[in-house]
Amino acid sequence: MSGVDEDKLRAAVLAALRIPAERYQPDLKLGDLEEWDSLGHLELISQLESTFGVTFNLEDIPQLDSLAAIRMRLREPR
Amino acid sequence: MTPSRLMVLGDTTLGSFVRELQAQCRAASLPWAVEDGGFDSWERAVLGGQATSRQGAEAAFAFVLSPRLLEGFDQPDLPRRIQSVLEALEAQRPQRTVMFGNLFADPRGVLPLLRPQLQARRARRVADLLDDFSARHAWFHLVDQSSLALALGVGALSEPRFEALGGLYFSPSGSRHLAALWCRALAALTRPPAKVLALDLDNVLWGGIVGEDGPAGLAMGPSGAGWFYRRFQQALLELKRSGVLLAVCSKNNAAEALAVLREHEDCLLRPDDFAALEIGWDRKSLALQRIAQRLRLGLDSFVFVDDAAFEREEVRQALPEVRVLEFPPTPAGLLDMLTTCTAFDRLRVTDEDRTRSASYQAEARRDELRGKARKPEDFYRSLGLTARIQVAGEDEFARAHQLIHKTNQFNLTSERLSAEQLRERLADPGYQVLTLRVADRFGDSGLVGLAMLDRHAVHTWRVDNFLLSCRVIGRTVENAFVSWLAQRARVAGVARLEVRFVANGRNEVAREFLERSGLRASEDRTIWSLDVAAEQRLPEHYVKLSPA
Repeated sequence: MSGVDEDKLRAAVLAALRIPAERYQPDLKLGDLEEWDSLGHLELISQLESTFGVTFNLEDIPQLDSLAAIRMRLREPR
Repeated sequence: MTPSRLMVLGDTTLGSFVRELQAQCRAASLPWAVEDGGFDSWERAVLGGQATSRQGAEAAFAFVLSPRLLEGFDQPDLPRRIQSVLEALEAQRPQRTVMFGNLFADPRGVLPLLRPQLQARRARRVADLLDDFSARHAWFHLVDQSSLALALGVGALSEPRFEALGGLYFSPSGSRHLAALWCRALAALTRPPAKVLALDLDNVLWGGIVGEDGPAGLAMGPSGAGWFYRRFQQALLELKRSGVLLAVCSKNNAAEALAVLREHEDCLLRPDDFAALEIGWDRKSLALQRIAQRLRLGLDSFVFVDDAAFEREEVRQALPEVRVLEFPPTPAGLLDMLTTCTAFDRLRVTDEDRTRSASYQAEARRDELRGKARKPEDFYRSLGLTARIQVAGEDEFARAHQLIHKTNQFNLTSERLSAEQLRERLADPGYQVLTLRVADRFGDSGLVGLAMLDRHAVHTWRVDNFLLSCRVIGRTVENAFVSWLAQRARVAGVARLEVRFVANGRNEVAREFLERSGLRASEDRTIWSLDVAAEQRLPEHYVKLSPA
């Protein structure tokens, strides 16, 4: 099981939420930042899909509500 | 610069679009503060009177409607709904700026064979409605969302999962594409377009080098590599028709290069399509400066295209105000170079835009004639000038209002009347708003002058303003106007003309005209008067006045 490329993950979060690098924390959760609200969540999902070349199931999207959960999902075999 | 407010209105959730447009406007330094009007706000904001409350009173509106509005058998009549929104916008005072994204149909759905009948007809009717409306109102601008959908495919703009989860017809990544289009439209609304496109010839207008390959070896025919140059030339002609002045800036043997432009059967652009031609061996920066001088335009309104990196760098260094385009590595990229260049973006094409090239052509011919004439009088005489002075009519209102606001140099008082003030003067029987049209053998310059004549007093007529487009200064037209006015005053038994003057820092040419005409200035130099009865000699003119 390989790890998630942390640089790519961080870049995707910064771009999707449009936040400066200093506000990034590796353990961010939905709601921690004003920008990561329900709308920001969809923007993050969309960005992760294009960055990592994956497509999330509709049912999974609400559950990917923390970077920890996202890492776990990205580590799963495609 | 204080940002202007832009309220985004739609039928779906546009949060992602709004955030993206805010970010893109910031990145492009555009002075727009973008706000979200909320879910399904497009009718409510206009008809409900809510967003027209104090808060939203002066915000511009951006309508971003989704294809969902076009769907279904039983939709209430969408064209009618849009019509009522347009009528309400028309009635609002003060008039706000409105941008309206045109509608496109989403082809993904049931009954694929019937969808054209269900949706396309509705979409067409809405498109006609919006086209007509934007042609009638200068404050109403269309944003071409449907071409974006065609170019990218609706799948790139909209994705069902995001609509299911957030009511977003426009997906997050689709919102980026859409916001880029809107950002470009907002930029066009905010910044004036570049005026001149200066082009190299060899390997730009055609493939190959005249001096080496000879005319027969040049590629610009309808097939092969020439096709890309041909498409490029067609695009240049379209730009020209939209009001861009084309110019040639080429290091070449002038006779050889001109022969290609004149005679080559595959060349679509002809010498007459260019407002200026600089073909020689000088540095390009010097050639560009000469073009700017001849066209009387600033170099900051120039865009420069050259295939040689060396020439581009020379111009960049010497003339940093000129926009120099990156040149594509293969001719296949020529068209993209123009379509991605935002410098010529405009949201509408006015009559003036359409005739700009021709009027610069005419001006160049006049300059040529002026250079050849032995005396100025010979030049004026040879122009065959005619003018018509008339009381302004309703169909001239828009042009008259535009002149009042655009004329800076030959403008006696620079009084910028609002549309309503101008209407009041037109309706006042004691007032006469006079229009001046000028033509000569090189062309019709159209309505280029305006005078406000206050005739309330019995023995004195007061000229509240007289202004003349800079295009016709220096053809004795102003002298013709004073003579005509003095003559009319004399016939009417008026003893005195009083002309108001207010310096604006740029209208020195107008004050010189008053002096030259022999008018006497008051102590404070704000009233210049002419004793009509004295029949003093006024400056010569060479203009044949046609009867009003």
